[in-house]
Amino acid sequence: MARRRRPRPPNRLALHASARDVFVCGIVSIVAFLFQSSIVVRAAQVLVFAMLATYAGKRIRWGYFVMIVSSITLFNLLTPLGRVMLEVGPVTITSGALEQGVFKGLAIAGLVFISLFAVRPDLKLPGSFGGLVARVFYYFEIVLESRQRIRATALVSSIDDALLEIYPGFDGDAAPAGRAAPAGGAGPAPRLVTTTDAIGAIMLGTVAAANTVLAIVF
Amino acid sequence: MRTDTRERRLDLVAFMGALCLFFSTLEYLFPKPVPFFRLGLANIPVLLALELFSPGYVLLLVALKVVGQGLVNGTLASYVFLFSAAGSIASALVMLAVHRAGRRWISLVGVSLFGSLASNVVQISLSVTFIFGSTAWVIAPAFLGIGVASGLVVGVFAKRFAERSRWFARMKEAIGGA
Amino acid sequence: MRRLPLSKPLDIVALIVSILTVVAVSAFAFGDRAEPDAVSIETDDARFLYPLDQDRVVTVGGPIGDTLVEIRGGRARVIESPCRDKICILTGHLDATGAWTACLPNRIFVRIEGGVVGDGVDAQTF
Repeated sequence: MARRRRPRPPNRLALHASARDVFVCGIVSIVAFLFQSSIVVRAAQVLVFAMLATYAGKRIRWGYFVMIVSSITLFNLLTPLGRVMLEVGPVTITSGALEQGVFKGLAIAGLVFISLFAVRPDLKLPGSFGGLVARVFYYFEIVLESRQRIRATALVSSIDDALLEIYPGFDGDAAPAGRAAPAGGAGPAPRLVTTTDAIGAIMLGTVAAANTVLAIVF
Repeated sequence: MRTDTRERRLDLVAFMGALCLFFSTLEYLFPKPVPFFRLGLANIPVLLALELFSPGYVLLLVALKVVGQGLVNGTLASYVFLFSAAGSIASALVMLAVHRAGRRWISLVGVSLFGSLASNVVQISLSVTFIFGSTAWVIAPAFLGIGVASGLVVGVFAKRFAERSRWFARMKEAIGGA
Repeated sequence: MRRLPLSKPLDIVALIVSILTVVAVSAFAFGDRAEPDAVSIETDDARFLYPLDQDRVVTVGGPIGDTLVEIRGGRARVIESPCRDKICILTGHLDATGAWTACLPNRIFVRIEGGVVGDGVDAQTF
C-alpha cells in the first residue's frame, strides 16, 4: 500500500469551539432543519451546512451527494404526482413528484452535512463506554502510525508482524507490555480547543438561532 | 484474577475496535465499482473476535466499531449512522448465532457470508423504506449480489488470517478463548 | 495441503442461501408487481397524474370554475363541479383501469390509468 492519503485539511471550526458545543449546535440545527417546509430555504440551508462542514476540515465528496439527491429524485419520479411537465415515451415527469424528490434528497444531504461539521473524534461520550471509545482512538493513532508497513504482496504476514509489535500481549499486568492505556479521555488531537471562545460562540449561536427562526417563519 | 482477565479482554476489545477503524480507512484505498458500495473490511476484526470472546464482548466490539466510525467520519448525527448501526447489529447477531450453532460445521467464510447477507438485507430494506421508496427495489439485487461477493472475500481473508497469524494465536492463549 | 475456502459443509450452505436470497429479491423486484394505478385528470391545457393508493382531494380549474376530484381508498370520484347537469358526479366511483368520467361543460376528463389493462382484475395478489 504505497499510496498515501492526502492529509486532511485542518478543522478551523475546532480552533474556536469545543466538541460538545459544536455537537449541541448540530442537534439544534437538525431539529430546525427537519421542520423546514420551504424547498428554497432548505436548499440554502444545505449550502450553509456544506460550507460549515468544509470549514470544519471535512472534504465533501460532491459527486456522491449529487448521486444521492438525483437518485432519490429519480425514484420519486417513478410514482407520478401532480401536473405532467414532460412526457417522453415511458418517462413521465410530474411537478409534484419532482418537488417531493428534490425536497427529500436535500433533507438527506443536509443531515449528512450537519453531522459532518457537528461531530468530531474528540467528542467525549459519557460513562465507561465513552472511556472505552477514547481508548479505541488511542490505539487507532498507534495503528495508523504503522500503516506503511503493510505490504500488499505479503498481506497476512506483514499485518501479523505489525500487530505483534504494537500489541504484543500482556506481561502479567492488565495493560499491554510497554505501554499504559489511557485512563479515560486523553484525546490524541493536540490542536482542538476544549472551550468555546467568543468567535465560536457567535458562529454557533448564529447558526442555531437562524435555523430555528427559519423553521418558525417558513 | 478475575478482574484482571476482564480488564485484559476490555483492552483487547478496544484494540480490535481500533483495528476496525483502521480497516475502514484502508477501504478508501480501493476503487469503488459502484457508489454506496463498501467492501466490509471493517468486519474482519469482528469475525476474529468471534473466536476470541464471548457474545457480550463481541457485541461491545460492534458497538465500539459503529460509534468509532461515526465519530471518525462525522456521520454520528445522521441517518448513515442509524443504518450502519442497524446493519452491523443484525450482522453481529446472525454471525454469533451461526458461529455458535454451526460449531465444527462452519468456518469464518460461511459466518462472513451470513453476516454480510444480514447486514445488506437490513440496510437495503431501511434505505428503500425511508429514503428511496419502494420503486427502488429494482436495484436491490445488484447490491445484494456484490455484497455476497465481498462477504466471501472478507471471510476468506479472515479465515486465512486466523489460521496463520501468530499474533492471533497469542491473543487466543492470553485471554483463554471464548 | 491447501484447503479450499469453502471447506466446511455449512459454508456451502451459506453460499447457497446467499445466492437464493439474491434470486428471491430479484424475483420480487422484477416480478409482476403491477404498477399502482394512477388517476389521470385532463383539462384543456394540462394533465395531472395522482397515485390511486394515496388519499387526497384535487382541485382543477376549467373554463366555468373549479372541479373537485376525491381520491380515497383506491377509488376516485368527482365530488364537486360547477356544471349544470352534474353527470360527472352521478357517475360515482371509478376504481378499475380504463374507467372514466368527464365534465364536458368544464372540459375536464378523469380516467384511471396504468396497472393491468384488460378485465380490470387487480393483479396485485400479494
